Amino acid sequence: MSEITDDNYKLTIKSELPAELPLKFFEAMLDDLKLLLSRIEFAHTGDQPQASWKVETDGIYVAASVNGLQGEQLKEILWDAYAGFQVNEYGQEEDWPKSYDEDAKQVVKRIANRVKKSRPMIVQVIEREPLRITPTAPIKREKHEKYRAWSSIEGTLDVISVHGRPFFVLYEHGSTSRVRCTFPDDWTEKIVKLLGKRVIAEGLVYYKHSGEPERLSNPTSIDPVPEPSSEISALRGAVRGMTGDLSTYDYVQRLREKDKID
Amino acid sequence: MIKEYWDTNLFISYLNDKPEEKDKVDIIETFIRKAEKASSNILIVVSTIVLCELQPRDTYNQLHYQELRELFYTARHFIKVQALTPRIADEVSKLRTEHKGLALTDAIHMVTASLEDCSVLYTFNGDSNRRRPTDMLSFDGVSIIEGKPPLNVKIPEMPLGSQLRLT
Repeated sequence: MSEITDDNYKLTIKSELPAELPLKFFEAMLDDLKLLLSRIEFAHTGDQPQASWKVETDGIYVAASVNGLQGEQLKEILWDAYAGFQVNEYGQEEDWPKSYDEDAKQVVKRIANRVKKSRPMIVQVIEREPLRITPTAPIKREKHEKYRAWSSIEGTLDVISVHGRPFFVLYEHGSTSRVRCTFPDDWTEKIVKLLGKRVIAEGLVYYKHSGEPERLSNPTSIDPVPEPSSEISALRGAVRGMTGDLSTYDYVQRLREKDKID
Repeated sequence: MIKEYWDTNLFISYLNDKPEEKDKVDIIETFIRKAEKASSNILIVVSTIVLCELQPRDTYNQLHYQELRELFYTARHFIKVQALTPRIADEVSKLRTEHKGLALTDAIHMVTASLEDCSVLYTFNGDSNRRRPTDMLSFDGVSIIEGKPPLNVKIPEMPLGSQLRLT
């Protein structure tokens, strides 16, 4: 078995900037790169991957080491790896090399996404122009960013206060959120009757940055949530014929495929 | 509390109950029976998008309307319907830019599951030989929101030792 030590047989991802890369970033990238190259080799040869990819710490690169492959085969593997990054950056779905299965594509996307959250990088392989992966500009978010929308909150109504501006607290169903809801004076009687019940309140909902609801103002309605009339298992087959002659898989695919942007 | 996110196709399978999908429907029923026990600590989370997708192919009639209300708009302790909040919308927009070809609804399901800290997202999306890179199952193990753990996307499987009376 010949050993190829020629530095030509390597894939390099290097930073355009001289700054050092964090170790965690470096390790995750290398693992993914090795995985990618092994999958491509398997697709080419149909055998268990033989090439081993040695890791160099000078930048991020993997280079062919002990292997049972010819130089030309190694080149093709590297070119396919390079092509994957190229397609991910600039291409269309149909442009992926044939040696890419879904897992290999995911690996490329994962590497590229890491890069995009980091700094400009260059991918290099033998006989190909350096390929630049451009980072996504970081989004500058407000320090205490909040969202609001006209929406509804469902939960158990607890703690009514009529001191000052009346409000009650809703313990949101299925979360630990306590949502303070203001209400008009003339709702007091209705609100008291709903104390301890599961209700749904509509109004202008303010959310924390995490997405949790924090408070509701300008309520437009509040109603008790009715008790179910049967166990859910009674609903098996309750709406037969929903998908016509299509399987569930095909039906949902059809519903969703029109909303894609390539 | 263990949160499970359920994709629309589980509900369609269940409500439709096609004979050729009996195995899947049996699994869903097992999951439902487990969750609906009073002592259960399982919460099934769904997005309001599920309600949009529960769309009959031919006729939207009174029966369809009533059954969906019974399913999602009654006080069931083990179901949470999560609205599409501005934060979810924001993350969906970002995710679809990063993953071209990802369907809008798939992105909403995945972002909702992630933000709700669901331990698993159950789907049949990608459950075939025609699996595509943008099917939800392809996102198993992928972190889609900064600061959140990777998604755990699975096809529901019959739990070991489960017995369901088959009729």
